[in-house]
Amino acid sequence: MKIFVGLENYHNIFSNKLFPSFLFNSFLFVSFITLISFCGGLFLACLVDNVKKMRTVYTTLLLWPFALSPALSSLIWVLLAAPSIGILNPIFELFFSPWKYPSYANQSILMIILAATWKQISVNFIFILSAFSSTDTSIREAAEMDSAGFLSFYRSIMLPLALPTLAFLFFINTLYGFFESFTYIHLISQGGPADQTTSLMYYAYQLGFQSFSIGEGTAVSLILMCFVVTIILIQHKLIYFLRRDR
Amino acid sequence: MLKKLLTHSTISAICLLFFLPIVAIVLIAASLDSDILANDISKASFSQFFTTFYEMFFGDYMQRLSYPPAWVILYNTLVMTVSICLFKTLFSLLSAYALVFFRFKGNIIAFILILIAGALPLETRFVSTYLVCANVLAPLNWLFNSLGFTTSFEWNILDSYSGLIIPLIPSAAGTYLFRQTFLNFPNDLVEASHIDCCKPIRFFTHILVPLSRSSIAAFNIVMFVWVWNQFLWPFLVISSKPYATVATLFSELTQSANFNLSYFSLSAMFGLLTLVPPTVIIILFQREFIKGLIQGEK
Repeated sequence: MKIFVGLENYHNIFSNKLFPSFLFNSFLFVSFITLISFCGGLFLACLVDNVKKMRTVYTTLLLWPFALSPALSSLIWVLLAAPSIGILNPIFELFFSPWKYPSYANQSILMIILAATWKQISVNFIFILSAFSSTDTSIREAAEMDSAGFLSFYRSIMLPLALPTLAFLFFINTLYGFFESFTYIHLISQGGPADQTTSLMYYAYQLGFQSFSIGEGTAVSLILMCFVVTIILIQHKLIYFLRRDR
Repeated sequence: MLKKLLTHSTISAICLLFFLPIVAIVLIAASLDSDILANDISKASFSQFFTTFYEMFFGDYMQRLSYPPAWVILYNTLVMTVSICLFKTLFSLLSAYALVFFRFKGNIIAFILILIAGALPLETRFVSTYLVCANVLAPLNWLFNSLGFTTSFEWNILDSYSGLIIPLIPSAAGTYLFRQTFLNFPNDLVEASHIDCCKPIRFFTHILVPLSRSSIAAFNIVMFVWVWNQFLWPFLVISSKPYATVATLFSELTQSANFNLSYFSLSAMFGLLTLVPPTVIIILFQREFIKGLIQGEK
């Protein structure tokens, strides 16, 4: 029978010694995935934006990873880097002496980030590219007249113009890092070794579906919800702030 | 000139880098499991590729895992994807129609509620949604019990198409998108249809929907790819084999690959199969897809 327990579930969660590390892992995944995929997407968009010939071909070729599902991406990386049979193992062994990602936390984290960014780079790329191409052509011509260099053109003209898109991407990437990382964690490391890659969302899943303490699982997902609402509020303020200047 | 060459070669190299894992997966799908375990995929052959393909659909490869043939699993996922897209579109269109073209009390409140629901995706409430699906009528029981009756209604939609589909239908993004489209709808047309005594439903089906079909198409294309790639919910809800979707099989196959069990070529082939529908959609409807994405941003 269901009994009202007040805040006991929250007390139980916060008194778990591993909870800070779960929180840390969540933010670790979010920050790495956001940073890498954003920088990669920005770099690619700047390159493709300069190209006139073959532009549609390149766009298609860089857009297709959008079709990858997180589950498929995990499966592919697991097949390519599975201990002792993976094709990529010689490359990984240059950096990690025994390459055996299910038993080392840093290797699992690397695998999760690799699998997660592969798809997300193309998401960032397509948004930034379309923000660049929707700017007025006169701006581009003026910059050419003044012979602005490649770097300074993008840094001081295009990026400020694309700021609302960048704010939106920050939001998308953060949500992706929080939620979709569940799929990668579950498929690649299952939170292991010794709970060292468990994120908040995966903790909620473990509580609700593996140890069947549903009250605590729901409590964790409420905490997660608070994060999401905070992020959404920040993003709204940010976009409002950026659009006000125009 | 040199700069151009450098740009082109860098982009091509990155495109290739993005695509290389798929080539490797094709090679794995075309090898025998014993060859993969012996670290030798040079023996990959076309005939082996087609054998794996054929056996997954019509042979007993899937039965070794005690799963139905691959086409059943792909069919289940397709049913899920298409019906979620259809219902999402229908409900979003109707709610946006009500919000834009009708003045009713609580208009603003309804819109704010929809936006709040959009801020709480399924991922933040999957534990409680699972409980709701385990017994949809639980609130009724609670109501009757608190009134003094003892009832135990039960309606479990776990492990069925409805449990798979219904929780994923609500879509604030769709309502918001169609609301934007409808707000830009020419007012003259609305007035003209009023003058011609066009009833609301007829206006909706004969004027509004046909004229906003490009937004509808863009929304559906983006949603198809998004729903097809869903993992968490299908994986949680479905536990019986006949209703298995690609998510169920992904978790099974990745787990066995993690621990060096067999089924490598089968996993690779299955991954390729699931990649086909979204890739085809994205490449065929590239312009609409990008349009749908950018629309969602606004």
